[in-house]
Amino acid sequence: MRLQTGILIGILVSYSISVNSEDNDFVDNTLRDKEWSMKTIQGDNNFGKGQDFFKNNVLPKLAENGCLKCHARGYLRPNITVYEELLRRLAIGDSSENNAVIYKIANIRSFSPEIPNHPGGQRCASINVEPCSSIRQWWEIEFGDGN
Amino acid sequence: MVMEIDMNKDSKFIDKKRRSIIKGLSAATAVSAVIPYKLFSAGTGPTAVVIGSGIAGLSAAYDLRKAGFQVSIFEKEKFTGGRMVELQMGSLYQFTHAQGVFGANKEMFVLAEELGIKDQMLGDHMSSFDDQYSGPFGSTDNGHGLYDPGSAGDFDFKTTAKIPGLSKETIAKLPLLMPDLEEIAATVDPCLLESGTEFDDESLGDYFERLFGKKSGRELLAYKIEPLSTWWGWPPYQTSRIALLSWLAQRKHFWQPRGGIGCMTRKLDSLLPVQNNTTVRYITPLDSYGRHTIHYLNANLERRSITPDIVVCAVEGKYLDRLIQDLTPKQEALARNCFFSKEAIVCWMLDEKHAPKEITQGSYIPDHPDPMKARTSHWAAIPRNNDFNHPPHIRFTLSRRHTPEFQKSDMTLEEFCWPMIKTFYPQLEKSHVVDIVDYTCDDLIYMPVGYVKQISAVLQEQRKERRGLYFAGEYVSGAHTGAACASGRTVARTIVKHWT
Repeated sequence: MRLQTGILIGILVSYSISVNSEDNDFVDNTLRDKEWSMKTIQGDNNFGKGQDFFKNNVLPKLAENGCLKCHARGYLRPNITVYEELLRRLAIGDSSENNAVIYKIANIRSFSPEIPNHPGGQRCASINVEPCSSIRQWWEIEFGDGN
Repeated sequence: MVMEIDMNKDSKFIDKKRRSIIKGLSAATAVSAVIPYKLFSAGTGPTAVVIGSGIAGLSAAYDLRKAGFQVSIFEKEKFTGGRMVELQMGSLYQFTHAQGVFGANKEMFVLAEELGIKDQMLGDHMSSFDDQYSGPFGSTDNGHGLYDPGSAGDFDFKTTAKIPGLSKETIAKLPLLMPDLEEIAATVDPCLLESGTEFDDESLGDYFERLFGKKSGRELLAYKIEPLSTWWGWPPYQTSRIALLSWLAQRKHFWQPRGGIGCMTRKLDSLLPVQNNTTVRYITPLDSYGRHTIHYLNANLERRSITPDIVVCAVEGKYLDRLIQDLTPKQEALARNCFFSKEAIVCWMLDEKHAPKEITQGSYIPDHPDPMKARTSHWAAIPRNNDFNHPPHIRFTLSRRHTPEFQKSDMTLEEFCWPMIKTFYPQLEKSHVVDIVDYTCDDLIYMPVGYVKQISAVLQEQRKERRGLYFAGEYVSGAHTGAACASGRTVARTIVKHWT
């Protein structure tokens, strides 16, 4: 009985000082317990609408641009046919013009003009033409003011 | 805490009841060790979120946790380790970026010793490794003959004097380099390039032309310097001289760790609370309490925010101006000058029937007179190598100088490189290929002239007083793994000083 009590206490102690790397328990529980200033802004992402727009608008434009030749097979990251993979890149930045996807494919800045920072070269002549314009719309759906 | 109980030492003073409970605690510890949970040593100190789980972020997090800070690490990728990672790509197990560590990595080896993995971090000189593999430092062809361009960690005068095609006039001038190398070796830490600010005044190209004269300078650049700097993607006339001279002056080697390049990041990952698949979106300006809020997507793609006491930005420098909303003018200047080079590599995986019988390979200088060779940095036909978990394959690395041709071509990498590899290995047929692994090596920062001065300005500002946001990584230290590690450890010391 005492041994069992010890095991039970031990498990509780071990778990209380453990962090689950998979599900943000650390953020959700441990930090709140430690009075970190943390809150969930919105657990309800605009997944359905954003994902539909990605599938129906963004992906066809990327395909027309030849992006899928490299980014839809093999081992090159990201696989842009996977919504979640490109969404994670789109998320880096605070506006439809300032995010990792637009910077890369429109070659907003590069070390020198003849060395684009995207190994596949500059894919949009400007952020106003496809596929950049669809990607900007997608950003607005996912992260814009309405969301 | 549970692990620290010594069952033997004081056992005679422990009564039966307590002994049973302690046995239970030990059993529970053993049980929890097999559960995929990571031990988080929650301190009572300030809270810190480290963004990025490359060696800089992991080193900073490790030292902060040791100092009693409550630390979490946000990593956007599903894997930990950044550019010190090893990945399985199809049948090919591959180091996608860093291959070696540098003998001058003081902070990294101290940490390796502390982690009990120093032996794994040691290895053989890069050249001997590359003789069996496919790296840059083996025999190079410059159109006059084959030679060893030497390691990026040592300017060996004897070896340099033997480079085929190098004129007697140039060889006679080689000792002119000695005084600068000696001064740099004595004053500059290649892992913290801020210490070399005074040498951040001209490009490698301009420096060698000034020191040796135009003709000899260009000869040396073409045969010796560019074959080394190009491995980092650095054009000599656009790269600060201190970036490469800080290594050449050290007389140390690069080597491939016995435990693999990922042994240190794997070890740190096992000790630290890394939140993978967690993408930081942006970091807000300081609030009235002097803290920044991090907005991010968690592993379930849910939008969250968190406001720790301290944010350590250990991401690739190219993300700085997308992530941070209130960069100071000095930080802004650095961020706008922070670019990464990429190297394009394609591997044709072969069926066993057409496996090469032995290694055949070639490395060429960018100025090689043969246009096919000039377009090729390196190629190799590699038989099955179980030591490296490599199936038979043909590997091709496109010359940096000619990569823009590919970027404009609208072709896939394997389509673009096919004519070149057919020149070197004509027996290769598409019907022999069972898979193609093409990737662009996640590479290192460019180091243009003036960049080190910008690093110094940002770090001086950072050291001055307590703040809510700190920077760590190769982009503020130097373009190699040891520099990133040193940066992480240095920023942790600064934070501990400011916050405790």
